[in-house]
Amino acid sequence: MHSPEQDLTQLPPLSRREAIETAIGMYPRLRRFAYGLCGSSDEADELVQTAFERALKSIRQWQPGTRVDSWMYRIIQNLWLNQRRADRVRGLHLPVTDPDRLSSLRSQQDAESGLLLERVQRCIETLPDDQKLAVLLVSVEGLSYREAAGVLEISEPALTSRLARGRRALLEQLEAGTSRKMAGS
Amino acid sequence: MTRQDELQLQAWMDGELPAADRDAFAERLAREPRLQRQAESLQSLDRLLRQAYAPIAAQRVPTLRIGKVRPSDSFWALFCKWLGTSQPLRWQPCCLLLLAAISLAGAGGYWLSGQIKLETAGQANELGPRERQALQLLVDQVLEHQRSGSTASWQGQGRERVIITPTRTFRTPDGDYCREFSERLVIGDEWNEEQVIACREGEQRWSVKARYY
Repeated sequence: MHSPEQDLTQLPPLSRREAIETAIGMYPRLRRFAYGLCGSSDEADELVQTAFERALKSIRQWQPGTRVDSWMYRIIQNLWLNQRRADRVRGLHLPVTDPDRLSSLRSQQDAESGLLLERVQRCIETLPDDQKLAVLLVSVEGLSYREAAGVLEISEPALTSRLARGRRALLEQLEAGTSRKMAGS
Repeated sequence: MTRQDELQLQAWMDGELPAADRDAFAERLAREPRLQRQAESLQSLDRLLRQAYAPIAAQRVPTLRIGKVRPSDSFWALFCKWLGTSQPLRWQPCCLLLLAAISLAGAGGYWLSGQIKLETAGQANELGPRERQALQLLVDQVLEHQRSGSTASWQGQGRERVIITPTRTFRTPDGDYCREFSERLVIGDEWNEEQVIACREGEQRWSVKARYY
């Protein structure tokens, strides 16, 4: 069920330099995760950029032999949670009229996949932060329960509980959206 | 469906059910249509999520700005080691030097800020009303249509040139859409840059709310 993307546990232990190179290779996946959290390409790019800066500065904290992707996901989620806390004090960032997101999607994808993404993102954004993180890490990024629990620094039962609640809420939202659409047409 | 069933179904779907329970659960799934429907819903949800986010991972990614960063802890580790292994007297000149450096930096910054403000006021006054109007039109257009990080410039009649680069978009608690941008005024070989925050007040109408250096 999980993503067929590179399984890092099968690789020999990496040096710190190799860890950064590996993280750079994961840039598109990290950006996808950040996009799921922020809902705009602009903010996702900024978040990933900051995460790489943080990773470089604290590369000594990375333990050789541990997974690079889990470490990077953890940095991104910590930065995002900090940003969310700051936003509550300073005011919200703008996810609605994001010209970067619209132009890049319209030019690279057909309108249908752009609409699907917007519809799914709208539902994801209604989830509480803990459920959103669990759903994105397991369902979208394809992490195992153990890996996802490690990233979020929670137990596996807590993760599965958040995941189940998140999926249930998403199903309800998507079904309600489909019913409204059918009633409208 | 009980909570236990929901968690078990989820674990089966994610390939996380222990091997010992897998066959028994598959048999149960084949027997119970309600469980089957729920399994199909969850599977289609995951397919939908992966499909929705796939274009993001396939997009061309912007270049990472990664420089050579000296790990911050190594400097402090070396400094603390030096202090730790040294004579206690070394603390005194260190503190004095630090105090002197802070005082010098403060005084220098104060003097420099006065110079910059004077210079800026002089340069900004060189723009006439027509130039200001043309510049405002450019700002309105750039903030309305251009993405953060892209640059637009305006060349006046004389040697003056203005370069606008939006850097951030945000929403105020009152619901206004605002953008932050850098405005670089170049006159001949001299230039001055300000950070400006402007908020949208209508279609292609942006009003400057703050300027800082």
